Amino acid sequence: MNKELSNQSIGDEEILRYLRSPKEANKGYTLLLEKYQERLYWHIRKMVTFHDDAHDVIQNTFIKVFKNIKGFRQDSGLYTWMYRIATNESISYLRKRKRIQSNVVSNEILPMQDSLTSDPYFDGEAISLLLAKAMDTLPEKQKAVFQLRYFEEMPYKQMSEVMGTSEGSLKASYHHAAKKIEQFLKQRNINF
Amino acid sequence: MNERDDSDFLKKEAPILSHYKRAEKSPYLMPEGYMNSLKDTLLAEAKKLEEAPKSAKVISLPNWFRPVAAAASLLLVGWVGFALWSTSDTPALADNDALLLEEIDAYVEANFDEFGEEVYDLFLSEASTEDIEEIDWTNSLQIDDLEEGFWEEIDEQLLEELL
Repeated sequence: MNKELSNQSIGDEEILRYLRSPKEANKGYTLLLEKYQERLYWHIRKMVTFHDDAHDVIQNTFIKVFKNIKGFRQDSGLYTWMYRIATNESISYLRKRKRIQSNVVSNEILPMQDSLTSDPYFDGEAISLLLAKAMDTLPEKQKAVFQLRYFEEMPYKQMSEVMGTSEGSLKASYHHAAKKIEQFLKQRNINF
Repeated sequence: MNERDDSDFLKKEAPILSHYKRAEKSPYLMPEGYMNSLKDTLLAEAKKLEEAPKSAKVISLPNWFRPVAAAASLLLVGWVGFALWSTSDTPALADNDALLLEEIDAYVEANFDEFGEEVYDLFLSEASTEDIEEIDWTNSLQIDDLEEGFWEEIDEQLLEELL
C-alpha cells in the first residue's frame, strides 16, 4: 500500500489535531488533501461538467476550507462539512456561469453537447452526452440533489446535512429531477 | 420512503436511468498527474494563508463605530430573537442558538447570491453567537419581512426552488 493510500484511512480527528498545531499544520493540510481532494474533485466535476471549471471550483472550495477549518466545531462530520462547501461553491459557480451565458449573444456560446465533445477530458458515448445535457437543464440545487443521490448514492440523511434541507424535500426533488431527465432522454429516442 | 423504494422508483418511473446506472462507465477524464499538481497548488495556498499576518484582516474603523455597531447589532439580534419567539413555538434566542443558526443558515442558502462573502464565510465556519452579533443584518436580511409566518414562507420558497 503506498503512502497516499494509507493516508486516506487516517481519522478526521487526527487531521484536525495536526491542523490546529502550528508546528504540524502543514502535515495536516497534506493529509486533508490526500484524503479528500479526489473525492471532492469528482463530486464537483459532475456538478460543473468541465475539467477547467472543476479546477476553479475545487480551488475555491479548499481555500474556504483552509480559512475556516481551525474554527470548525465538528457539529457535523468533516466530510459532510466539506461536501457542503463544495456543493455550495458548485451551485454558485453554475449560477454565475448561467448569468454570463445569458448576457452573451446566444450564438457565441457553444451548446452544451458541442462544448463537451470539444473537451479533451470527456470520453462519453451518446447517452453520457445526453445525460450531461439533461442534467444541465435542471435548476442548480436540483442538479446537486440528483448528482448526490444518483451518482454518489449518498444516503438522504447525509444529503440533508450537506444541503441543509429536509429528507422529504430531497426525495421529492430527486424524483422530480429523475423524471425530468428520463423524459428528456425519451424525447431523444434513447432506449436500451 | 426508504432507500430501497428509491431504486424501485427508478426501475418503475425512470427505466432508462435505472439501466444506465448499472451500465455506466464514467465519461469524465482528468489530465495525467492532475491530483499531484492540484495538491501542490493547494498546499502553496495553505502555506500563504498560514503565513499571512493576522493583522491583515483588521479593518481600520473610526473609534465611535465599534460601540455603535455593537449596540445596533445586539438590538437587531434581540429583535430577531423576539420575532422568532413571538411568531412561533420556537424557543427564544438565548434558549436555543442552534435552532436559530439552522434557520438563518437555510435562509442564507436560499438567498445565496444576495449574501456577501463575509457572511457566507461566517456560516461556513459554523458561526458562534458572537459572530452573528457582528453581522450588519440591515445589509443581509430585510428586517421588515420578519413578520408572522416569515420563516415558514422561506421554507416554502426553498421547497419551490428545489422542485
